[in-house]
Amino acid sequence: MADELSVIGKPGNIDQQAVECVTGTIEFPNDVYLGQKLHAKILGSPHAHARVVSIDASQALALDGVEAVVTHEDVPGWADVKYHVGDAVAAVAARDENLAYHALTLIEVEYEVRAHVVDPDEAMQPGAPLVGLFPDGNTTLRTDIVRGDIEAGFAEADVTIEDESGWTNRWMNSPMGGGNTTAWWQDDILHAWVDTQNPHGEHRGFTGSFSLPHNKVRVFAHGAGGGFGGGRAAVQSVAAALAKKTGKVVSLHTDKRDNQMRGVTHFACKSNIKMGAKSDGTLTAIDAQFWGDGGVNTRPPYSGLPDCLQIGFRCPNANFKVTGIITNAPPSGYYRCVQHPPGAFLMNTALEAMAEELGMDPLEFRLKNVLTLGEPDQDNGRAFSFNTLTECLQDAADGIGYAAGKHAPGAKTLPDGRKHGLAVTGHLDGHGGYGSGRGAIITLRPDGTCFLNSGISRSSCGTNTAHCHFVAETLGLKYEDVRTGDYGNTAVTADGGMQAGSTNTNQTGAAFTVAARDARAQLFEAAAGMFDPPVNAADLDARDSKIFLKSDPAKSLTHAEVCARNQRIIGRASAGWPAVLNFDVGPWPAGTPANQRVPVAAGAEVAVDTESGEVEVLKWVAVTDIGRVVYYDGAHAQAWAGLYHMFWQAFYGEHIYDRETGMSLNPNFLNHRWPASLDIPYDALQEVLREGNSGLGPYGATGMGEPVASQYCVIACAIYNALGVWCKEPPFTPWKILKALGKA
Amino acid sequence: MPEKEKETQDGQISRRQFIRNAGIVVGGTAVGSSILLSACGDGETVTKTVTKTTTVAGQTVTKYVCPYDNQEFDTLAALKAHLEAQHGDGGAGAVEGIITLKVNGQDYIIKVEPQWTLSYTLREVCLLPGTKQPCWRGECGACTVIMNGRTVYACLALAIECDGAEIRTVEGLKVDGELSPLQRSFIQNRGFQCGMCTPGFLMTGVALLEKNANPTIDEVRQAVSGHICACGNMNRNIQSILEGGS
Repeated sequence: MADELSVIGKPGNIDQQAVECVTGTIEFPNDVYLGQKLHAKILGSPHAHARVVSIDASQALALDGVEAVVTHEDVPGWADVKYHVGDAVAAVAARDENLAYHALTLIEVEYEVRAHVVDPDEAMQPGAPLVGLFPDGNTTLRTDIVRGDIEAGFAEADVTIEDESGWTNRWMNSPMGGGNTTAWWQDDILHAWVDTQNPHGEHRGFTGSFSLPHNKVRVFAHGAGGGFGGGRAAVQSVAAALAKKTGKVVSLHTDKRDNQMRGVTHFACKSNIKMGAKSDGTLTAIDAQFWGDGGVNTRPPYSGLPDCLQIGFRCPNANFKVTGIITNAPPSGYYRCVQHPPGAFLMNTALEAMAEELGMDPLEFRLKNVLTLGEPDQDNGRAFSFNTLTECLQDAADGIGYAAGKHAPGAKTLPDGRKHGLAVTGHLDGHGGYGSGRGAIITLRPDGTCFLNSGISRSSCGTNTAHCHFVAETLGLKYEDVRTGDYGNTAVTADGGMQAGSTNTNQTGAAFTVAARDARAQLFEAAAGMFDPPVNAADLDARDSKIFLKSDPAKSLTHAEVCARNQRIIGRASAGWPAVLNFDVGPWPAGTPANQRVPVAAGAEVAVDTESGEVEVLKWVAVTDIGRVVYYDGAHAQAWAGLYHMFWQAFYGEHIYDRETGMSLNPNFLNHRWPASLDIPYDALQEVLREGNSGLGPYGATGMGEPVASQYCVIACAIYNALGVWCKEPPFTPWKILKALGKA
Repeated sequence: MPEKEKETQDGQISRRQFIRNAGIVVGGTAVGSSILLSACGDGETVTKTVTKTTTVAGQTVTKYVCPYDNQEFDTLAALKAHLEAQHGDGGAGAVEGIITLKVNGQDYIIKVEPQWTLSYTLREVCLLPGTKQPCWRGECGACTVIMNGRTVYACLALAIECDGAEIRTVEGLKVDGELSPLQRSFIQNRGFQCGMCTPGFLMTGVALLEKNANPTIDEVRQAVSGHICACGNMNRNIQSILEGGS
């Protein structure tokens, strides 16, 4: 390998999906044309908890053009009991979309309505209505982390605080796509086009749902339309069941209302954190209790809350407990991580409160307690691959002029009468290093170019372009000679794993790096015999689509020359690091215990109007150390997108349920909306990428999808610094601010 | 499909087939001459030639041929009138309307049902799926197309109200087979992530740049204010339009 990188991190390389995206030809599930097709729509339960007694679809089926109706009796995985409003009851296939919608209104369902509970506080109370998923209550209690001696820790403390948060917001992932499927049975072989983050997972789902051998399912996951963690085709079996029943192609399109009634929500959580510190600011004890509202998800994704709360800051004595709550609301799931955004929120607001109690500058207090490079994980003792949280915090502070501008909470009023606030927060994000194994296949072509094939999805955030960077670098090819072949086509790819946990770039990338080495070994072996006189493969290197003698680079062959005579070169690999790094793809040797962290920090400057409750973001600098920038434009776009998502979490994202009915009150893009072009403070938002160059991934890379979106807590802290009053119930809408000020 | 009548051997299509099927598309000169009976569940996909071009005294003459009875007409409008009168379920155009659209320069005659949206018609009848419809309810802007020079949300327009309209979609952006300057700008600026909102941004960009070749960044922000990009790529989408003039 050449010492200096020739492809990785270079600006200007074009995204692999660019042309598809700008011509509208990227293949989303509903865009597939297979001749005549039926359109499917889903009928959701109007009740938050009910059992279906009977379904009469005769009127719907009598409509000309309505071809099939399926219910829990046909669709694998559906039950007769419905646990939230919108829970799927029936689905119809008709010759056009409107007809399908119309047919839904003609399906008569008799329900046995049961008591329900939507409010998590109420769900916890003795005697509360049962959600129906646990036999004897709505909660599960577990102690997650016990470290040191909590009593001794508090005895050692000079100052203790008890910090109680409100419920963080529950929000929908709200990707543009999501929940769409086109399905078709070619005799007994199911073909399914889905938008998903996990193509081979969907493949396995179909084999299970329809009792099919693995080679009788073909999943095509070519266009995802976003996902942010929610990108799983939760309703995929519906289209397949309808396709089976009708013998035709069935396309299920879930519009935004459908999607938000049934899709994945980020869970809401709250905490009670007791914290002890010595007067010099040294943390001695944290006793934290969390409550998480999982909706109807009984396998709560908030189980990792304590993990994300504790990993960044040093504290020898700690207890972390989580109470999981279920409610009759749509299932909670993943949004740009499971628990890090709220975990970072709860921890950083508590740290801010403790700093004030101590009379210390909050940044100084954080820096005093932040885990630094060389300090191991406090619970498993493993070393981190790298840790630049201290530097990230300082960069964030510098980015907003913290040192010069800092002031006591509530102490600064701007000339226009608004209150001014500054804050810096930080977090050691736990992503980017673990997950299932990943497979990758590289086929070299006769002209020396190559295709990359993997079973992972194309959520289009630039990860498959990053894979091309790894392969080009490793094979010594020019970037333009490397292209993605087929991604997400399960019949022709190895299991590429799930696009989750910020692992696509580094972990699927590791598989591609190893596959590229496999191909390179074959290529060099073939090339060695073509030199005159023949040379040893070990004496060769490659760069810029040329294979040359290390000792005499002028003696070279092109990849094209070698591949023209060796047309069967395929590089293959599977790689992963569930517990340890299996391949020495980066600066770390195989066998390194996998403890990947991504340090993130944010600095924010806000102005708060205490009359209107409006918060203006004057500056928001988000710093992430992603180890190595691989695909330059993609990495920066993703970092800015992370800032945008944090802005959304802080000020917009909130999915509201009516307590009485369990009905979502804003299942759409208007009332549960993304900031649009006139809502974004472009000049205030600044993304900063650091390169620690020592991540566990290939060439020192880590993942970044989740870390870059985990710091909305900085806005809560900045608002506190402005007002001297806490508002701990995001999103920080004018009403919430006025409520915190006692004005609403 | 035992009860369904098939196309007859000489290429005629029965009245019943016509009524059952979703649409008719008349190919204009842009991409050849064809008629398509679109599949919408019930129907068959049938491709028919309906324009007949002959050379008379050195002049090219185009006739429009009825797919049902082979009568010839001089204009598309005349064929449409004939279809409505003779083959349109008693000519009840208001209920089962026959409309003409010119999409990306190609003429279509489409028999639409009154509830069909323009986005549905473009995607499923004209088979132009580049126009996306993620929200299906006028909230996200991804389905934006240019109709008679103005941007519209295609998911909020009923096809039956678009009779005679000239429509441009993302499929029509290439110029002489090459990507347009705006498309190239979107590539260079990475003005996309998942690609679902991109066609809408492109169409609004086209409409803006044709009226104002050198917009300010505020004008671009204003122009795309009806679009959502959930991936969080708004800054780059805007930059792409700003630099997309030529």
